[in-house]
Amino acid sequence: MFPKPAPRLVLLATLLLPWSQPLGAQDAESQFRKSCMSCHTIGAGRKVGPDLKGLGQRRPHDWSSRFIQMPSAQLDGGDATAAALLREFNGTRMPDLGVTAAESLALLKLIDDYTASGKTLGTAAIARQATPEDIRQGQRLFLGLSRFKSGAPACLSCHSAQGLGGFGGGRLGPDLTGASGKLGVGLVSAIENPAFPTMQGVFQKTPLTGEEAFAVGAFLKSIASQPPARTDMAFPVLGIVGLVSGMLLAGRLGRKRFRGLRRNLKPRR
Amino acid sequence: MDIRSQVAMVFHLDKCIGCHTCSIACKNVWTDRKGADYMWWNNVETKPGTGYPTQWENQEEYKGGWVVKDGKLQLRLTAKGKFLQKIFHQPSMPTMDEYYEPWTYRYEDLFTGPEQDDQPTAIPISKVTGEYIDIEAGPNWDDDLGGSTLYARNDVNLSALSEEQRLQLLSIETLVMFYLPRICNHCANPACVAACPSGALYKRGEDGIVLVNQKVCRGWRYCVSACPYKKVFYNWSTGKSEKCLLCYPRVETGQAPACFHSCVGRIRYMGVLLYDADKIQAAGLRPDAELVTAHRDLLADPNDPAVIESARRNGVSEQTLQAARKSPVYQFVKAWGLALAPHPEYRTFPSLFYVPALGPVTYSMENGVALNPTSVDEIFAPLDQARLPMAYLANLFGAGQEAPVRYAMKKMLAIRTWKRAQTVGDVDMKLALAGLREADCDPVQAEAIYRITSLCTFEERFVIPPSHREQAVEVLTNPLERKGASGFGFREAPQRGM
Repeated sequence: MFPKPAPRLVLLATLLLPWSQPLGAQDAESQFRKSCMSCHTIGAGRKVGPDLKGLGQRRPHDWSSRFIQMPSAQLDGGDATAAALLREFNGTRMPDLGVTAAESLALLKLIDDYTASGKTLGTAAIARQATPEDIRQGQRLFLGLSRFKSGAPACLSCHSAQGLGGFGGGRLGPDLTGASGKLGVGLVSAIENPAFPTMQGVFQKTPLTGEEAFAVGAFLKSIASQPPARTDMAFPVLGIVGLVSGMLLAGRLGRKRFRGLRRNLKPRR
Repeated sequence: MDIRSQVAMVFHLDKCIGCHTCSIACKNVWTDRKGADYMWWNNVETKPGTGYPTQWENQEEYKGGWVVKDGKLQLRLTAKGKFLQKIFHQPSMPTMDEYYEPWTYRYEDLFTGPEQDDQPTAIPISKVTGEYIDIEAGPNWDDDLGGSTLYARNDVNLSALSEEQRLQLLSIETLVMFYLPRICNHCANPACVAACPSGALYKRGEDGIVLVNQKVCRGWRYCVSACPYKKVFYNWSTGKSEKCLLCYPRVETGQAPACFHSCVGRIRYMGVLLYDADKIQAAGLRPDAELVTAHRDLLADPNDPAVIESARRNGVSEQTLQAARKSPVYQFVKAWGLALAPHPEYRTFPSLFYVPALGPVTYSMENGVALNPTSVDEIFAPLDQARLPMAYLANLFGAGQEAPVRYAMKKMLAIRTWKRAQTVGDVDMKLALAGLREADCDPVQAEAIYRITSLCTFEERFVIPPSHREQAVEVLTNPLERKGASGFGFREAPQRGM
């Protein structure tokens, strides 16, 4: 499941974006990359959701168009095909992305075009089991100790998580300790192609590679069972400890300073 | 050889009665101003004591003067490279606590107090806050508190004394003290001048007086830290540093400075010294034990033709050279070896020298009647039995070396004995003459020392050459510039008739 605020944010972003004009193929592709690619590919295999190659042959266009516009209506409305898909993909619901009818048709055309030409869009999820090496690398990427190839900022800049040390990470985004539980199988693709508008602004220009997203996902999975990072007390405590040790150091460095003479006069015997 | 002239001074401590007239004269003339309240360009300290500011001799803390490091003279305050590091914060400066919080009294209370059973009093109020203060320190606290044991015991110069000697200093029967009047030493190698980042301090070429240019001073206060005698003061009102200017307006007109002029005990002598500026650096590098000799070697013989020639080349006037030949300071310091600079180990080569004080005359008493002495030792205690240990004076005047102090004291003692043999007659003349010889003295020299010590006239004490300021002024401005433009005549045109 997506974290709660995500659909609202997606909706907001949808309203803000100037999508009123009919979409060309170029626009449809960019929208696919933005909104669909975190869960779907065209011809590159399954991710969170099904591979969309040949969708036009599998389902009627009007059904697909309605599903794309408002998946919840069909999922909750007792549609048999939708219910079967939900079961097939372990109960992962497609969120309502606020796609208009025109956009949905453009997207379906895009899918048809790709199917016809045999090109693929998107990359399939890495299927192998995460190794301890992956987890370690994921932690290093999260902390910024290893840089992302694209030069994207480390996760730490905005997110905190368990196991990062006393200072934790940033507070702009949510604590990611439980992210793997919330996102489930969508975790890695959510990292690779984030559907969150705040993250999109940053990662669209500097996307993560599949390997990097897999490693970070592996790290987040490894800490999923732990309680969220508690940095609320650690930060002030570390601050006080730092201040005191800084003052002690300054006092030590300046121990030969002038401390006044008259008041320190002692009756000599 | 680079001979320069220096107005130099000798203070004869044997004659100082500690009346502080000098301090008051100076205060009235120069430092009775806002921001200068706490400045005592001239002060009189009770020794042993901590002085003013408190423990000014403690260079471990105040970091004044020069030290030899890697074969070079260097300010103790800071190395050249680290100079700017401390420019906004002088960590070794005396604080107000080491001086004192200046105060006055609320005199108007005496007139405006309500009618009551008791006399009204003028309470002390701080000149800093304007509030009542409980006075904790003053410019002469050692003395005002009767040389309290606290202050006397913390005299830095006592470091060379044994525990026993210190106890003896403070026990009532052997209690001893003397006065040490201090002004700026107008050093030949002044640390304050060397430390000033603005170049505001300078040593005058014509007479060696060290001054602070008030227009250039930026108040960095390196001079305050660097002066080992703590004789540069910071004026909190003007934001500039100030110091003793040896009353140069008086000296330029042939008068002695105010503190010299007003001295009741006539302890102060002033005269010209010629010194060789080329030798200063080498002298400053000599080890502590040789500093007194090195300092005396700097001083040039005013009768030596080579010296006169070099002085003339430097523009020293004939009258200054004449004054140098009559200088009482040259006699005291170089010819007689009686006067010693304070703390030569600071390596600033002061132009102020002190004749150390002898102990009191002792008598044997019986039934309240003084007995005729049977030996010299009964009149004047021998140096080694003096109440003030030689080690103390050696720390003060000899950079820890007893020999120069001992030499001066021995000579003074011999002259006193000889004079007593002459005037009182209770000392064997042969013994007295033998004593003179032993003290590197003869009756002629002894008589000269006796005269300048006891019977000196004003002109003998102060041999101040004319400064020829009129010539100096001519270099800068044309004295005839205003001739015909002002002077005699009417300031306003007369009006007559209608």
